[in-house]
Amino acid sequence: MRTLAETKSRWEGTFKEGPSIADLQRAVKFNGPDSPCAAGLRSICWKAFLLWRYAPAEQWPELARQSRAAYSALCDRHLRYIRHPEQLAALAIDPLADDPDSPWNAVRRDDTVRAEILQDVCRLPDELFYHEERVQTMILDILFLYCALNPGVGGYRQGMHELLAPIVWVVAQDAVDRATVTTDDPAEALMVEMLDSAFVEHDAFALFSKVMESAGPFYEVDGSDGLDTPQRNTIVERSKYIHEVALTKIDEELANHLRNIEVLPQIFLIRWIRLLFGREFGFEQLLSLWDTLFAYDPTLELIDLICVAMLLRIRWTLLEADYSVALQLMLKYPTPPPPHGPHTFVDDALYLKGHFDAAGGVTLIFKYTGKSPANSLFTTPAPSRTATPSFQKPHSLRQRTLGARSPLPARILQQPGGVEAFLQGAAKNVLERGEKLGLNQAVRDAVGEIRRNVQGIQENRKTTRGGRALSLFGEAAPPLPDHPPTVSTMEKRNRQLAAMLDESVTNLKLLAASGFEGEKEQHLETVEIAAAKIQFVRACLEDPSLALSEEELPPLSTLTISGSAEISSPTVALDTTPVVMTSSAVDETRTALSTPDSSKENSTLASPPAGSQAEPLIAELDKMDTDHHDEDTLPPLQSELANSPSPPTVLTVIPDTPPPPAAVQREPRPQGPIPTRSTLAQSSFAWMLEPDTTTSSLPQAHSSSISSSGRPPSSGGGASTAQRKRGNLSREKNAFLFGEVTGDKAGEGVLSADQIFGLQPIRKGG
Amino acid sequence: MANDEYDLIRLQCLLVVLIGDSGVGKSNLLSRFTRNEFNLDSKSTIGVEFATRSIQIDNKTIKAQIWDTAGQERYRAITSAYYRGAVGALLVYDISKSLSFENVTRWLKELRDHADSNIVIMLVGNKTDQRHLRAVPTEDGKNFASENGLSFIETSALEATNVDLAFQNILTSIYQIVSSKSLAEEGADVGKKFDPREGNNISLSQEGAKQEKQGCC
Repeated sequence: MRTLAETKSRWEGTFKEGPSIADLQRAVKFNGPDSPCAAGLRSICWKAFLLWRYAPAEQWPELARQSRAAYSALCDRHLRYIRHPEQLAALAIDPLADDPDSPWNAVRRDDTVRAEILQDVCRLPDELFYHEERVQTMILDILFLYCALNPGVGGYRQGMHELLAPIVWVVAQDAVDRATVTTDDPAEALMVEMLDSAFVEHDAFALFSKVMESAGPFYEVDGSDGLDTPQRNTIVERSKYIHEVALTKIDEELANHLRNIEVLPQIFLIRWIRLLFGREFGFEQLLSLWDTLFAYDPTLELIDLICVAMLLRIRWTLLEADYSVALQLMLKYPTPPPPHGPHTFVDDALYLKGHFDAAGGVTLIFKYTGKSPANSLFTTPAPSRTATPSFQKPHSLRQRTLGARSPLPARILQQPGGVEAFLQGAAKNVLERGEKLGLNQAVRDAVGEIRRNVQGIQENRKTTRGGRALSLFGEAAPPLPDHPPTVSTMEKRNRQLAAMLDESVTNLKLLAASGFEGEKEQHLETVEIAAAKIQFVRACLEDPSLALSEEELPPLSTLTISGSAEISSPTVALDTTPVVMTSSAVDETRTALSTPDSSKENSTLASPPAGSQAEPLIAELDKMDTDHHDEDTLPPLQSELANSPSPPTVLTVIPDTPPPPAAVQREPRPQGPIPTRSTLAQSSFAWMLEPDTTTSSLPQAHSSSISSSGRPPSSGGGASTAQRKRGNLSREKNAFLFGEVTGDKAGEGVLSADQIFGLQPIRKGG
Repeated sequence: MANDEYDLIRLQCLLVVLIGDSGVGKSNLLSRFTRNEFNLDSKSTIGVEFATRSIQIDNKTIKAQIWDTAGQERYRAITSAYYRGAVGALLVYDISKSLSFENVTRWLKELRDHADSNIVIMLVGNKTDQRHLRAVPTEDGKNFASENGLSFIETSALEATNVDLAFQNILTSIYQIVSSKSLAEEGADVGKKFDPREGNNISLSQEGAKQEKQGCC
């Protein structure tokens, strides 16, 4: 226990920034190691956030007293005979009476529940504190009371104990033993009362109950007795929402990939969510994550976006992972290195809450990995479009070019000029293909928009939307002033953006000119960098208040778009004018390029459960979509410009329309197809039959002996066995296997099915 | 499938689930088998964990992916998701806890309701190291297994008794069933066996099998 002096300084430190919830919130989020949770009294902060959120600080002591009194009353009612068995014995009631209401029977029922809870409490994580007997009893009592009071949750559920344990630790950590303190100072007396170690259990119960108000549904199971009806389950629904709505909206490529490799979201999300990430991060890191979470969202709604943020952080690895690797990653989540420790997932989630779209996802991905999704331009749903998750969207650029599953891009990329040839082919079949791609129309629209908007920049300057400060580069950029930027700064900004676009175009053109010879990886990188830059420019255009960091931009000398030799004549017509695609123009392009038609088709394809049936159609769509998913806008733009019947020679002025508002509202859950693992995964044994394509690197000592996988084959009493505390140490090696097989047979050779007892397949209802 | 092609038949990955009441030692059976580790105070499983290990059968490397489920998820929709694709199940009880043995019946029903009807099930009485606390006689387990067409073994994850053997036996028998089945049926009409209620419409073309490979370990 801390000294009184230290506690006192922490107590004062907690309220250093002010006593209101908003002050505490800010301090928790921005003060890092000086956060009132870390440097002050975390238990007080948590109580303030969770229990006293809407009460002025002067009422807090009274609220604490009330909740403590209420808990004491509860203990008297529910734990009386458990804590005082002698009182039960003193009752004049026959212990063997049949009456179900008899206190004896009640105690027996309670004992069953308590035994179930205790089994898990004994298996709490390694923190020594958790394994003190008084602490375990405290945790057991709190969980028991919670379950008694909340029968709706369905009794004790595994995982609750690991939600409660950190709470108990936090409260106990700050506690003060009242008996050791004598003080006349009323302020100090108040502090001691608030932190009284006699009420650790009471306060922990209050905090836990409050957390469970929001976390309880994670544990609920409806229709728990129904074996025949498909059961609805809150946690499964929530997992699906996170994957199919939230992640799909924020990073469709990743969502699609997880779907393609058939990772069921609940497999990892159950643990993430039920334990509020308790097993995913170290103890201290977990506490600071909870600090921010409780500070900003005691309803725990933010959990969904925290999960999304966690997935975004490892997205590049996930995109290359197969089923096993992906699951391993998510069940053993890699600890994010400082300074972006786990608590920053809450910051990310708060950001995503305000930017619930692909652009938000791109921003975060870029922030932490320095890379932007290559195809983000195309998968960004237009603000006006309803977010119907289309589960069969074509694969990402990365997957398609690296993977062997989509033959077309590789073929095109391998042929010099292949992309252009293909695009021109596509342009010729405008009606058939263009309809699906939405591409040609898109480019025409974009060109038209450019034409209209080039000289409408003046108007555009006035359309700045508020002064919302936001930075692509984290907290580094200073907030922008509330007044709109001046004309000259806008012009400068536009030139910078134009230069970025120009650079990307040049690189892509060089790439195209090179005929994609040489290192594929390098080309990919070039394309990705270009895409990232274009994406960045788009984001900047979309939000005029977005800060441009100076050092991220090329020097001003390169800032004019010049007609380079490679650019075809219609583009040259634009050259001497400072051309900037305004946000609405970019939006238009994006809208059209996101191919509503093909995505509609794709979503209908998603409904048949057998993936193999949809395969040919998808392959066809793959072909259709190749160009704009595999390449950036610019090659198509170029080809379209080349085919454009009347290149613009005079730029007409049309006032710009303000950019459409960003769609940030949470979309309703989709009624659309719910992906399951493919039916193949549910199939019978024949699915496992495969041509022998891989060879084992493992030692093959004996035909049926178990390969050791890097450990000694003999497993009789490893080092860990030494931990055993149980009494009986003698080892009878009488391998008790009923039937023909004995322990000695293990190494003797192949066992046939009939040598093993009863290994017949069972039949349904058999 | 012609006989000379038989050698090419290969089991890519066998999915086996561990089920049984909470605290019977499923996680330790898994860690003993895959990592040769035992932890007396292992944390309770929340949701699901999994691990893989390769073994040799018939000169072939068989990869086993073993899913360890939370005992308390019994009779829950979540578990049925775990059962999908499982070809084997180790139904574990604790020989020192008779309740865990009584609940075996309910676990078996759950398997029959949710898992593939061809799933190979082995009944496992764990914690034979607790000799002085034994509450379920070996005969009881043996008889139950016999009556229900299950194989049976008693193990101790703590003492590493029979753990490898249990996994090896179930994997071997799965392998043999698959091999003989593939010869008999040429992998053609396996889909028929599936309960349409569960939405299975299997088309086990070669293409399909390839796709499965990617989803495996």
